[in-house]
Amino acid sequence: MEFIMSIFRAISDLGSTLMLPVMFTVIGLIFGCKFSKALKAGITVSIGMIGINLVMNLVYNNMEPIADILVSDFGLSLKYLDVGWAAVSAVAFSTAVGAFIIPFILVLNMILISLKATRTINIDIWNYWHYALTGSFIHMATNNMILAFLGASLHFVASMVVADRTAKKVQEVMGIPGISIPQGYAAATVPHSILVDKIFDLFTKNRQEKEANSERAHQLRDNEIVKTITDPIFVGLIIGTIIAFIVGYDWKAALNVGISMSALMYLLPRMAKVLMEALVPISSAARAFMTKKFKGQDFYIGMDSAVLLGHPTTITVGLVLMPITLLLAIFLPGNQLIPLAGISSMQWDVAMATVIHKGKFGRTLVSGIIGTSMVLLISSYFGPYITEFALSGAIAIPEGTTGISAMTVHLFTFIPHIMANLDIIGGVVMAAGIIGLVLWNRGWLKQQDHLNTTEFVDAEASSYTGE
Amino acid sequence: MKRIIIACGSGIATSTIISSRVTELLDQHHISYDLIQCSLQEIDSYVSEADLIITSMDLQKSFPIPKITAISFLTSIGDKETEEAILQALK
Repeated sequence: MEFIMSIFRAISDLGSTLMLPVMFTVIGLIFGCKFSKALKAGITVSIGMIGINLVMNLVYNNMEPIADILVSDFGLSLKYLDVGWAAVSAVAFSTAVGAFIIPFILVLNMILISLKATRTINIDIWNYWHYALTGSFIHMATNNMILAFLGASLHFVASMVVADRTAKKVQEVMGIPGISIPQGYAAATVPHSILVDKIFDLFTKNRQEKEANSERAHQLRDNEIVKTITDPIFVGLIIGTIIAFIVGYDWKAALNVGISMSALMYLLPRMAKVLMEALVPISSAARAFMTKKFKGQDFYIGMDSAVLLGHPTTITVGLVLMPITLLLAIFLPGNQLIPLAGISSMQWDVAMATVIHKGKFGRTLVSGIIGTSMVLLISSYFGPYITEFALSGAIAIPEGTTGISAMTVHLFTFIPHIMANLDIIGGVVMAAGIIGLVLWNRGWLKQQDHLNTTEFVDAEASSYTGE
Repeated sequence: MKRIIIACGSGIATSTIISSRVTELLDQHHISYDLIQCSLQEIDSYVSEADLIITSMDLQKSFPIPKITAISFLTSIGDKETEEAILQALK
């Protein structure tokens, strides 16, 4: 154990710009990539991080004085700017926990399968960053690697349990056979959605409930005005300019801030894409490894929640949630986040709610509002962490009262973090939680006679790992 | 030269995986191409200049050009059929 810890320390000491290429090259090699390809992937990960760093600095320099005024002159506690999940996903992969997350989760998935505690094989490698983020926050707070990986494991196991139990509904509502959704954020929106569904069931016994109409949903989204103001570039411009105006900038300075926020909205996802492209050989090889290993057996294929986004209810509620989220940010007690990047991707917040509510509009909207309120509060809580994260990682942000956060952290990150703060007791509770979930799901899976799983077929591994 | 839009929720994650599969496929068949990777919201702004739309989810909407759902490239189930459909659409 001491040896493993010293490796972790040595790697952390390199700093992320150097650590990332080394780590990802090694992991690429483990999965059978050629050395040149693995090395290129490793360096490209760092390039993505450096790109994100550049954009974040630009944004921070513009936003920091404004947030200061909001706090000091207006008495608003809005001190963290929402930079979106793209930046945070990159940061999550750039930590010591993130570097090891891919092999760690793959092994954990195989253990769960051998224990018959899940029927899902999570081949959505890219989204392992959600689990890495949970672990990284714990590592920052406690400096304890064991607690960090326990937290990441709890997040993962909980997501897998949700994936198994919602699989039938996902397939039925979306019409995609054989899949389940273990994505770490989408899974966390399921428990409160189920609760909302149960409460609605009590009150709406025989009433006809509306589903969002597909044609109308697309009409709404394709409306020229809606299309313009929901375009990330305009979201940045509008929100940036308005906030700068409110704090008393003249029109020229305000528009400057607005355009900087547009730049954030436009450039950050592109920088994250650089990082994503770098991970393609590794994630493809990891996926091929899993499909090869479980070839011919029946499982759910764990997918990104992106495959859910076409549903008309998701589209419509996602649009309606945009203004609601802005209002919540102002009036929700305890919120410290200025929503920005997350605003134009609200459909992710209700992708699973749509499934749970079978497309019913009213229920999905209620779940969306409850979920968004939780996300605002939780991302406020993690504001100092994400800001410091950015400080100790490649992203350099001057220390101050204000900072950055992102609407990308949910209960499945928050709960392990609260437990980890209790140190040993928390560790025991988390371990007990994992064991409990494993036994609970194992028992449940045993009782199911028809699971709608699908036969795994072998993917062509050679094309990913060769040249 | 074929212009192909590849779109997913963010234009970052699943569309990158699909792009790498499409690139491989078209290289094999010596079809020259220009890939436009984007988010769902951005599809419309590229449609007029493209030949085909490939998405990672079922979009219940019609476009003036053919569209193909390539979930099979993520799941590896039925991916040969999707490859066929793409080649067919580009003929």
